[in-house]
Amino acid sequence: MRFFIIITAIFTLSDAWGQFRLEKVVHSETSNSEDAQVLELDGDHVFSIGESELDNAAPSSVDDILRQAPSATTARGPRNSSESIRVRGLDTSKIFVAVDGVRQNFRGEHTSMIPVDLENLKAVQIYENSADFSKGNSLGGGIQFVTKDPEDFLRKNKKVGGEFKFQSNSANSGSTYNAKNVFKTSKYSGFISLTSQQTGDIELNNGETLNNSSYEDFIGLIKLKSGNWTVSHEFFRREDDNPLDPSLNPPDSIQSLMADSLMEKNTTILKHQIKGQTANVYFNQFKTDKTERENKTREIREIDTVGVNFNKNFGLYRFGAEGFQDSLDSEKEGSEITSYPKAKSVYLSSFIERDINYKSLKATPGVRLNYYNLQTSGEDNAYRSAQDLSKKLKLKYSFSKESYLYASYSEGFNSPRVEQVYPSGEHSPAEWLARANNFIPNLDLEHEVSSNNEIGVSTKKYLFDYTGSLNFKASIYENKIDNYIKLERIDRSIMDDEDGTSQFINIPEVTLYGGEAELGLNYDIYEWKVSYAQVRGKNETENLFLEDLPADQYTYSFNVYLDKYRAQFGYFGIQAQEQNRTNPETLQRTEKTPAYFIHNIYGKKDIGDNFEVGLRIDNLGNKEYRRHGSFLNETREDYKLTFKYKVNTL
Amino acid sequence: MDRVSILTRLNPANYSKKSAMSSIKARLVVQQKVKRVSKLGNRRANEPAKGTKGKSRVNDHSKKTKESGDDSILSKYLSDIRELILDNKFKSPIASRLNLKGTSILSFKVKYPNRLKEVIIIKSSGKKLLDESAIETIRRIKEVPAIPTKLGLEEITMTLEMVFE
Repeated sequence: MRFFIIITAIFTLSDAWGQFRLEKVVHSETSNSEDAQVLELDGDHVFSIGESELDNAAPSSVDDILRQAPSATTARGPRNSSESIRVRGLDTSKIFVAVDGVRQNFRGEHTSMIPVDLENLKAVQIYENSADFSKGNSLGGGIQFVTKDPEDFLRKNKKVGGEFKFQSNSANSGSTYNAKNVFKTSKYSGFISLTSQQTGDIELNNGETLNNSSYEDFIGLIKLKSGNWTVSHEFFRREDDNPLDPSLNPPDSIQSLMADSLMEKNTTILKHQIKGQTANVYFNQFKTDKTERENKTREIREIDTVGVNFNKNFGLYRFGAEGFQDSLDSEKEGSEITSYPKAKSVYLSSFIERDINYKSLKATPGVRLNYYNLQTSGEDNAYRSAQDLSKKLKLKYSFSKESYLYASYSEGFNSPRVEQVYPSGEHSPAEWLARANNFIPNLDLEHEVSSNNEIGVSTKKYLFDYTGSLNFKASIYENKIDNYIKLERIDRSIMDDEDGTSQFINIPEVTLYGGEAELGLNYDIYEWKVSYAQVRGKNETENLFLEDLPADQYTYSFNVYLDKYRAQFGYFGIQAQEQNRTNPETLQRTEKTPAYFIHNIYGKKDIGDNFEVGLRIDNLGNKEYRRHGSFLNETREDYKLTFKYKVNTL
Repeated sequence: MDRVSILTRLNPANYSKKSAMSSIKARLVVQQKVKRVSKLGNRRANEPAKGTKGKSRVNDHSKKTKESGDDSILSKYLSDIRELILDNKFKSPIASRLNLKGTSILSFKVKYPNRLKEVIIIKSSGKKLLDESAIETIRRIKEVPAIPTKLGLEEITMTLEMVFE
């Protein structure tokens, strides 16, 4: 017994001196900047395309990225100057589009492209409905492009780094060069990125060459961070020879439909971010300068946006405010373009929401106040304004940590745009048997409001001793829109007494509905995913289908991550069904679109510490197809070869 | 527990200046200091604190008793080890893709002068990939700093909670 006590004492004393508990170490998947994200992204309503998927896409246009999101599509391609984004069937005039919180509000005649620096993207977030109240002026979500921060580039413990990238695209003989330098000190960090891209004409999948589809881009992005402050400036410049309407392919002989264009964007952002709070002040200037080839007339359209937004978490509460002012200006032969009048528009909103937790149930009610005004600077000095209260309620019931059901109701608000309320002048000249068509302003145009109902389920089951997982999520929704704004065009022939007219009008009742489902399996180094999306839209007032809604679509992806060899390869397939929900009894241009199934493969490999090589083949096998809502075939089989030289960068 | 090394440490030749009671006291003091140093965030423990005008913290303590000087050396040593762990944080790519979350508690020893040994999980996260990632984090430390001779320790055992989120 005595011996036992002595032995016990020895072990106790020794343990007291030689063993120490270090403070815990946290390994977080998210970077510091994301930690500070105020409103945690709601995965039920936000589909996020991450860095790895962006890298795999080797994107040369926004469409290359959005193909991966079931709920977002583009139409009017394949020229990316006319690429028009849609989220659950709503086009860019009805949703928000932002880059790092900066509104991209330019909607020019036939130019719907969103100029984005594709070389520095960290994520593309698709907000699928209006449940996120921090993003107002939208009938159903939108798209946010998020650029990288300096620390997203550098390897651990590295203070400086750089990268050079070259990418070649075979379908348009395109070449992209990007160079960037990154630094980090104890107080400051920053990077500068310069990108140059030149392309030739696009070769289409039907063997034709799409004339006048080449362009040259130059993009610069500089970002500096110090403590909680970030300042960034982006410059974008594009020169192209696209037709005045780049979604069409008029013959070269009709020079009056051809133009040489210059597009420029300058964005400056000042951001302050701390845990649970973020604020942005920004200035965004976007200008298009088109010179018609036949008579050399220039049309300049410009929009300057000054904005501020602020969001804060306060316990279970979240609140925020947003405001921006758009100033429109235009010029054609010394006077303004009547379809794009000089005017100012202001949008202001403020919201509050809170979480209420009761056992496995979480309720999130919220309200947002929206206000807008529009004012032209012309002789009539027409002024209009409106305000509206949007409400939301989300209920989420969790069966387990990884499985839950949710139901949400959210209202959206979208103010009419200057060029929808005040356009005037000629829309299209008289041609052959048709009389000219003229814009008519509509000072009674009302703002649009929406009510979105959605139910969904999400579940995740870990398999094989936590080396695999099976994920499933599905949702169905209905979005009822009052005062849906659309362009009503009435063409008249030379037999009529008066010219045709184009006017933006409100359709009292429109309904969009549909659903998405996704099934994924991860096991070890393998990843499979199948998704399905469908959207239907009805003009209830006139009993017509909404134009240009995307086809029902399945996507299939398969990835193999050879982590040991620092390599990855994968497959991505898109199977679109026939889209025959058109209105042949009307004058609408969109015709039914046959089904298609396209295959894309990709792979990349790190070589040593400094090199990375990637290959992607889009439209493998050169399937001949056209997307619904586009008038032209898409690009042919496209080989994208990428080389990267990296010094201390990830 | 490495019984041989414990007995070595308790050998009067190595351990004569400290009584058992003062050892326990020292441990408590050191633990508090380790915590305080680690709360400094990203600043390395061996960087001079504000207002010290270039003097190292070890030098500051040199005016105090030898015992508190030893504590300071030990505290700095442990802080350096934690810094190395932070620099070598690792999560298996498969665990990242699966978005695995959990906490593994592990233990490891540094044998004089600087040999890392017995990296073991003492409380599993329940997920093999996370436990392996925690062990790999320690194994990735290429060069462990030598146990300061002044401490007169044959080996030091450390426990660490690694949280994957």
